[in-house]
Amino acid sequence: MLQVITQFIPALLLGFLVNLEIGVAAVMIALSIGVPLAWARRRMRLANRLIRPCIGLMQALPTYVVMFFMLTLLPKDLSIIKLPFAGIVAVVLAQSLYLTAYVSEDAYEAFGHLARNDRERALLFLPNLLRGFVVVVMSSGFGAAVGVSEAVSATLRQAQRLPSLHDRILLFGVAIAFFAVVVGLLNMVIRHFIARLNR
Amino acid sequence: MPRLLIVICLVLLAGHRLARADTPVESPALAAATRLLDQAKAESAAGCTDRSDVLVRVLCTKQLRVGLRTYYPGFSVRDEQGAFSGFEPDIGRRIAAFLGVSFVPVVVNPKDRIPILVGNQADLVIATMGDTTQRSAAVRFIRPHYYASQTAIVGHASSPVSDWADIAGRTVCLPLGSNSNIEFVRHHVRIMTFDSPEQLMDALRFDECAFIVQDDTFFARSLAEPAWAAHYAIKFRFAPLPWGMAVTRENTTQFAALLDDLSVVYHADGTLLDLAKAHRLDLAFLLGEQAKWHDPTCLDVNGTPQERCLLPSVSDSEATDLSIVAPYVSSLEQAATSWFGITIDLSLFRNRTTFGLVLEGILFTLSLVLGTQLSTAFFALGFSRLMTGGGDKVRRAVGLFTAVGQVTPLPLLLFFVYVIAGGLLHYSARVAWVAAVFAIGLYNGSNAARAIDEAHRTLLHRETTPGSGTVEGNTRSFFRAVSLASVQLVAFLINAAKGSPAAGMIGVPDFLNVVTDLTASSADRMTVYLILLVFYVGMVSLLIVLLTMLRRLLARQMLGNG
Repeated sequence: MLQVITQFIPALLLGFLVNLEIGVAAVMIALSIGVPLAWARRRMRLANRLIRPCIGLMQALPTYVVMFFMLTLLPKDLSIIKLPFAGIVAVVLAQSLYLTAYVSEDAYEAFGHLARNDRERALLFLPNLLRGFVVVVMSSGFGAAVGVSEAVSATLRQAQRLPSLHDRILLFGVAIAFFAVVVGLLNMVIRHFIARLNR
Repeated sequence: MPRLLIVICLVLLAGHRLARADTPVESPALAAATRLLDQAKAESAAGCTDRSDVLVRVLCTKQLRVGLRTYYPGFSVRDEQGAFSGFEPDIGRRIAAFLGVSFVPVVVNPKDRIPILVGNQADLVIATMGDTTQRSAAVRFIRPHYYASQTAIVGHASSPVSDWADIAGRTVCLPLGSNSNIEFVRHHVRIMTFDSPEQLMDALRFDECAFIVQDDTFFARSLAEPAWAAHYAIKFRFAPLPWGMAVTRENTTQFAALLDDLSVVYHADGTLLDLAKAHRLDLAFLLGEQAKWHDPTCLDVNGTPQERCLLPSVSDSEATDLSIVAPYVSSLEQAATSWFGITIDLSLFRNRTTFGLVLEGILFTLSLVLGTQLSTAFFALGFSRLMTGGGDKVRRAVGLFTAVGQVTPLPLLLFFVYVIAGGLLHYSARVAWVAAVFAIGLYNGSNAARAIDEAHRTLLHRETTPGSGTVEGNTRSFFRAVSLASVQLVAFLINAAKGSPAAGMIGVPDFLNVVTDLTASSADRMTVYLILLVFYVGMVSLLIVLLTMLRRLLARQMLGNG
């Protein structure tokens, strides 16, 4: 079992790197669309009326279903240096849709605070963005359903090789502990950030 | 002298017998084929037109274009130089030799073999094609059939799978164009499609697929290799299917009749058997056919095969049965074309079987949403009650448990519960449903419970509740905390509904899963997915409205109670 875990850790870390990449890509897309949308909403009343229902729709879309929808839109042979890429792009786009709505709402609030010269509260946008990033990294594991080799699929692949239920539970325990540590650390950073801003 | 006469007579008799043995007795079928060929040769001498029989055109062009697959070990494989080898090209070559024309291979695959034939890009297709009633409506199958197969599920030799029940909820990999999708969806087996059989074999080798599906004939060559057979095995077979050569239905009366006759001849004289032996194929079907076509009662006086001796096409008429919404679906498709100029394919809803499976998927989805709402509310209220009202140890234990629920990604939690459920119970769609409802409820309930606990702590911190420390006081402060955290509670209930489609990851046959699997080989998946998206957004939006109303109602009641 110890040998299995020692083999598993590098695969888990490599997989988690993919989760992080998905998170970063989704944040970039969400920032580049969400912030201008929020700015337009603050500046133009008509834009606000048009964008608000769109944001509502984006919030109501189930990310998992959107991921499959995106996969049907993308060409199946999409690849980079002969590596299939459609799955990962579908996950990024699906997560971006959710994150864009989240970022746009938050940025809208931040622009409001800036307009009232409340710089500290406007800066709360940053820890909230980090929180959104954590949510996206956590749910990027849905990519396992479309063949993306991230941390959850690495765990599944390793679990399939273990014959006993006991060993599989132990393996999942290791993966859960890993996420607990990473997410716990990120949450600490967020709390620290907010505490500094409140000071 | 009489002795000499006897010797001469014996020598003459022996010579006569030897001569009879050297000159084969012409079978009625061979005679019929030869007659048809001679007649066609005479016609071709007069010239060919587009309306000439395909046989006449083949003789005019002096080429027989045969549709063949590029990789189906034993049956048809194309090498790097473009040369074809295998049982099927060999049959094609025999036919071309009989006609006295050259053999020209044409590359086909399961998706395009019928269009290529109908589009007159090939004269004949010999490409592992099963004779079904649906295909039989599009092309003319040559009978007697040249081979027969069953669909086989192959996996690791050590895997204890022997029936449909053993693979329910699991994923199998299929070749694109396979017509067994419905069979898998019906048995709640997930499917993943691959473009070519080579990719399927690679997927099995690299553990991308635990099970792959193909005709059992496809695995004949691999199973003959000891190294491969030590690792993999056929787990079970289903759907027996005779394979037929096929020609187009247009202008092929003479050509098809000649091929029918030749097929009888090749079975009876052992040509097909010898070719199959040369490629190390399973001979059981061919031995049975040889015995059958040796029997003179299976042919009439003209050498035509008797219907009772021929295998019928396998019925797949279920695939053409219409659902109750079929007329509306057709109207909708026509309206889309005439109003917007777009072509949409809603055949999923037109067919009775697939429509039934879609309805079952929708019911699973609705029950999932209801289940996840109840489980989320149960875990949220249960955990928060224990955290706010229990002793220190209980509080810490539940706090730790909910923290784990909070930091574990939902997909990982789903699979974790699935592994435990699969280890303890025999897997079924219902077990998967319970596992998904539990995992999604635990994930969202843990988050909501912590929000309620934080609200409770804020309340305790801000004010000293009269009667605090008594059971009555605790209960009251708990309900106030629930009211205070109701926005978060509703947010996590909505999140649970939005996350419910993820139950498909562990094999729950919900709407999304059913649509994904049934449209795996469909050209137009977009329209169906758009409908799917509208369905989910509508459902989540309705839930948001209902939960917001409920929250306001509760808040008003709490306000009324002081």
